[in-house]
Amino acid sequence: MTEYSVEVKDLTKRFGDFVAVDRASFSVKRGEIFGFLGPNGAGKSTTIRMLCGILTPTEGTGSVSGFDIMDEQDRIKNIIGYMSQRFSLYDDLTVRENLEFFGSVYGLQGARLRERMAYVMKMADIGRRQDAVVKSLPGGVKQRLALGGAILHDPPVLFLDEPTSGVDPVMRRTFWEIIYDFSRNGKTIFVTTHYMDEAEHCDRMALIIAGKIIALDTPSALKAALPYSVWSLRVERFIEVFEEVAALPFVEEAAIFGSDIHIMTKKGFPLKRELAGAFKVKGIKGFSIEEVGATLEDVFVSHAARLGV
Amino acid sequence: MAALIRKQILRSMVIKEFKQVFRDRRMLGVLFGSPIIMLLIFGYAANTDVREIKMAVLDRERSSESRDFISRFTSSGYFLLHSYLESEKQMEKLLDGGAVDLFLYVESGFSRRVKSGKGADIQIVIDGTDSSRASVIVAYVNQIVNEFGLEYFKDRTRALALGRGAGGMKMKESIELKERALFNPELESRNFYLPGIIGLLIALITIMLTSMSVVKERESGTMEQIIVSPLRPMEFIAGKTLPFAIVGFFDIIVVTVIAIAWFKVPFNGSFLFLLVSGLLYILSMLAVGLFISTVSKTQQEAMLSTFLFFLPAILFSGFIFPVYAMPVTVQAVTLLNPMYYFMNIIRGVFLKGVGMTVLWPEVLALVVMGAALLSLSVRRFSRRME
Ligand SMILES: Nc1ncnc2c1ncn2[C@@H]1O[C@H](COP(=O)(O)OP(=O)(O)O)[C@@H](O)[C@H]1O
Ligand SMILES: [Mg+2]
Repeated sequence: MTEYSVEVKDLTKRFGDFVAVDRASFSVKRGEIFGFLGPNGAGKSTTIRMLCGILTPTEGTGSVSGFDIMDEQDRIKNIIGYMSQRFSLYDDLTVRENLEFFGSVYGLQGARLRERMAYVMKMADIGRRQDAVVKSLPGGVKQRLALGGAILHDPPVLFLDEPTSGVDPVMRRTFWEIIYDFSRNGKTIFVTTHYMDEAEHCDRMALIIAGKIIALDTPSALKAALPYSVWSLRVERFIEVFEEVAALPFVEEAAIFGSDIHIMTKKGFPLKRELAGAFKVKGIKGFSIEEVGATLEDVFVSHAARLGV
Repeated sequence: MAALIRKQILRSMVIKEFKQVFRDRRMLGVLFGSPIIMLLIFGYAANTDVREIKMAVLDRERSSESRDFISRFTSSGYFLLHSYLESEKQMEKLLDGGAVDLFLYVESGFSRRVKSGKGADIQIVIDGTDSSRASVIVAYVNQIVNEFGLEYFKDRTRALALGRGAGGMKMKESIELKERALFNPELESRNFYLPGIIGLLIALITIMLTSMSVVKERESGTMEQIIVSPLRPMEFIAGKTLPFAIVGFFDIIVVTVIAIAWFKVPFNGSFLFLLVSGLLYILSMLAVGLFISTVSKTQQEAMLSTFLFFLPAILFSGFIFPVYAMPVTVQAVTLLNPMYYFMNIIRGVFLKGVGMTVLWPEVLALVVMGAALLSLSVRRFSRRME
């Protein structure tokens, strides 16, 4: 057994001329929560689908638990759980029928099947809705049931494709608690998201933009590696001010962050003094500025800018 | 090597399929709507038997013979007396308006000429708009006229024979009986169409349901969950086809029973032979359904593709138009049509009562074609979704 659950080298997927995933290489350690962070269309789903055997890679190699993703998909199928970005249980079957069907597909029977079904239904907060048609369940419950479908057979490796998309913030927290729980039980989790804040939950993460992995490390190391100081500027009419700020010569990067403006400068740059001077000239009044710790979003913005996307 | 299909899993798959079909309105429509509609259409509406021929009469003679002659028409069961006319002018109006199909004109002097044995003229005008109906009407009229003439002739010969004493010549009555049988197409078109319906139904139901249920999985995203699971391709294919094979099989039995019991279609052959050849036919239709599921992205597309296959398949099956009447090149096309062979089989079994000894070429063709179509479709049935 290797130390890594998932190993990928130069994995590439082309749709015609379009390169959806471009020579991605990474490894996921056994038992870790590995995040794939990137905007829509970055190639997250495509990567996950190649690993799960839904798509054939155009080039490159990969393995899951030591099994080759090209030649040993049959072995891989039994040890992975996959939660699709799109809801993918049977809408017209009941909760119980769905779980019984997928359970039997994974060879679960009798007491073992009942035990796993009870676990999943508890996790998804099904309560007495066992015989309700899935279509009729509220969105959050459906989403958790989909997650439950992926772990029904208790797989050691889990692939979750944007498990929290379209879920309210409270439910997102619940989701992450469940995911932590899996991780504590020794499962390897490969999770994609486009929420920057969620990526902080991961042990390690890869940033992916336009099919390319641009950075890969722990969230804190990624933030520490940022070669800039990050400042938070609070000012009235911030949208108008933003244009002015972004054009200043000493501002490396500027991004709107909620109702604040985040500014990146060279490390140790005296921004407070310089900005006060610049604003005085432009007649901008009533602002406050302080240096803040970098967030993953800042990391992301700086990398995206470096690559010109 | 592990088995291609695990029984337990196939069972779950089939149960799930049945549940889904019975919860899907569109599929239920195909399942129950199409047999009912087809039975109604071909059992009742699409009746090419000619009956209720509306007849107008102009009788210039008004003798007992002419009345007898006219009543031969009305009592035959095929003709309805619309009206007695006074002049020929009225006739034109009625025919033009489509109020009557047939105008019968008996000239005066009819009975005199009949009695004299010289033969009498009657005039008949038929609405020829529907040429096949018109030609059947002509046949009926000929029969009635012949019968009438024959009876008078017979009476006369009998009188002659009696006059000559015993051992005189006698008419062969069998001639008359045989003619009656030939010209009695009662229920014939129904007998011809209803067995054929079984061929249509099986094709429609198995192709459409198979392709729709596969495409539905792809449309709704559940296919991804299936692909990442250890479900084997053959298990999936078997799970997607077996339920509809069962439904198709059930349909053969139900429609056969209805055809025999309700529509009184004669059944002269072996039921077992019908079921066995039906099974072969079902297999090739399932293969077509699978094939369609590989070329359709949405359920609508699957329905459309089904009809695109279905219409020419019916046309070249002999269901409505006899194949022998087609140009030779077109006849060659029918040889590639599984429906053509099954039409031959099912009509042979129902109407002629023939079995394997006569129909083996058809059965063999179904076996070969079913195997070829199945292997083609299964190979095309890529589980990867690119
Ligand atoms: N089957 C496909 N055919 C063509 N293009 C595709 C296909 N699947 C995905 N793409 C394209 O590949 C890119 C990456 O898609 P995806 O992996 O779904 O992104 P993400 O999951 O990061 O939002 C997108 O631009 C998408 O349009
Ligand atoms: Mg995606």
